[in-house]
Amino acid sequence: MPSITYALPDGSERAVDVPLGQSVMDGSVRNNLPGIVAECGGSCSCATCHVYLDAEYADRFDEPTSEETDLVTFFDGACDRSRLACQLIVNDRCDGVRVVVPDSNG
Amino acid sequence: MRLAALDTGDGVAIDAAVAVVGVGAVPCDALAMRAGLACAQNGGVLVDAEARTSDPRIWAIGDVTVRRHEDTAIRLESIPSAVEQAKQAAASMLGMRVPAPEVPWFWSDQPGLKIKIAGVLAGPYDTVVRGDPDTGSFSLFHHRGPVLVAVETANANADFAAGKRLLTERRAIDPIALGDPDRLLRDLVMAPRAGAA
Repeated sequence: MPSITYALPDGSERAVDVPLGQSVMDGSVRNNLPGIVAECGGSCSCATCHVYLDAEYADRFDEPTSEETDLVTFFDGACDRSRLACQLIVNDRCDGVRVVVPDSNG
Repeated sequence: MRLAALDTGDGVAIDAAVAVVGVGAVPCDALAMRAGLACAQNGGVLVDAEARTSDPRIWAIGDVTVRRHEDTAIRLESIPSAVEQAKQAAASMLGMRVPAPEVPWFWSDQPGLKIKIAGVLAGPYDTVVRGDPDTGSFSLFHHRGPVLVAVETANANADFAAGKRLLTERRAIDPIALGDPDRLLRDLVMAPRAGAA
């Protein structure tokens, strides 16, 4: 099972095993990690699962859809590493991926 | 089968192509009433911006509550509202700073249709349409002069995100520009404020 590392708003890091097919958001919510609120449960609606994905891991996931990009563009603190964690589906190339969870998900 | 007309209970037929069924909900405030908490005349537990009821030792959150929004008292049936109030109540109970009020917003995912709304429609307003409703992707920007009141979007995530940001910042806008498909919302919303350094 791929291990995903979450760099949390308080500066600490947590590595969590996330089953294939689940999202990076699922891995956070199901392990009760702070910072990813996920109000909508993962339907690319609420934009409360903003994370920064380091460039070296960008190609481990599918490219963002325009639906996702359209939301992310208007975030405070959005940059070219911004993704919605609910759209990052864990696959067998994701072991060791690290995401940074900002403090601004509400 | 397609809808052609509505037959009402009193025998009147109304021509209609589309019917929107709004079931609504009745707030279950009997427990609060028995506890002597102030409730709205038409239902719902009154709470303040910290999610406190009229008894400062009791908090209430979610669809059952009635709270101030600008000049009115409203009951918001939405997940974002309940989550916002959860943050208010937790901060209040812990004696921490209560977060600033958020812009109310709503979403509904229907087959092939993502409906998202920010703001609450009240009072007089004008409406600018962005996009073409016939394509299934469009938005309605409701404004009072240069002030955005609410935005309703169908399959238009960028319009929603831009509108919600404008509502949060309470920034003056040019409504004509919002309806102009050649003007990018990104440029309108993310541009530095006039007069800002």
